[in-house]
Amino acid sequence: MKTCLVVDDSKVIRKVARHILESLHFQVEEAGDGREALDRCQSATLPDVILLDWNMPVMSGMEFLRSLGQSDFPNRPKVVFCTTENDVAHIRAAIEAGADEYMMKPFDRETLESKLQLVGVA
Amino acid sequence: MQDLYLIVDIAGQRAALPASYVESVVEIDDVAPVPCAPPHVFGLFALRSRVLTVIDTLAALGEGSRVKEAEMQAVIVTVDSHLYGLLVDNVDDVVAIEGAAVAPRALLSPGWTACTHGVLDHQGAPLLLIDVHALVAGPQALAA
Repeated sequence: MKTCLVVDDSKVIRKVARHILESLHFQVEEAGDGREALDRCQSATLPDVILLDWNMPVMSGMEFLRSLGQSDFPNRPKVVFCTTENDVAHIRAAIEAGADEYMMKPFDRETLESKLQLVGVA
Repeated sequence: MQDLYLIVDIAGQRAALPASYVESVVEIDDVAPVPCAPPHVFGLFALRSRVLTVIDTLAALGEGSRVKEAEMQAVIVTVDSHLYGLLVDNVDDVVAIEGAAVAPRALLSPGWTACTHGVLDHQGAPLLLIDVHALVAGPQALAA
């Protein structure tokens, strides 16, 4: 079973993502901000994929991505960036920082599944 | 086929919002009133770098109007590419429910009749399925 780390400061969005991911047979872990997600990545086996929100307190998604990129992880997880912003500069910045895909919020099962297929984990 | 819903309380009624509309749930304050706006438009709120229209769901349902509080809970939804904050009394849980909504057996108020797609069965209890478009449109939809 593949593992997905859902990083979002909204408990509701984490729950929505968990429901969808579990229906897609993923094991799901959650983090409420980038710092918590980074701690999780440093203390346990890396997830196969990370669903990452952009705007979060403590450590944003972008800061998390940069920290993840600078870390010496052997098998870097795939990252799907979840954003409400759809301007090109915003998306480009996320991709340049290391995101493998991006997805607009709100999302549904079909969208999430297709993004996971695109990054090769579903 | 199961669909995901966010269960909320509005005007003393437990109801379900389709999760596919929900972007987040936030505490909002400092809502700027909009002069001459329809009564169900509570005001505008800056959420990070974006401006959203805050909807007084009580007024939209014709159930009175909400009193401004220091912090209010809003479900952020996207409707036709516009961002709205639906003021709710409480946010309960995200649930998966199988089956489509059916016509309500009980008599609903005119506001709820206009703003619901019907009733879902959740663990034996009825849940009104909110028509998000109608709720955002407000009492005009009711009058039409």
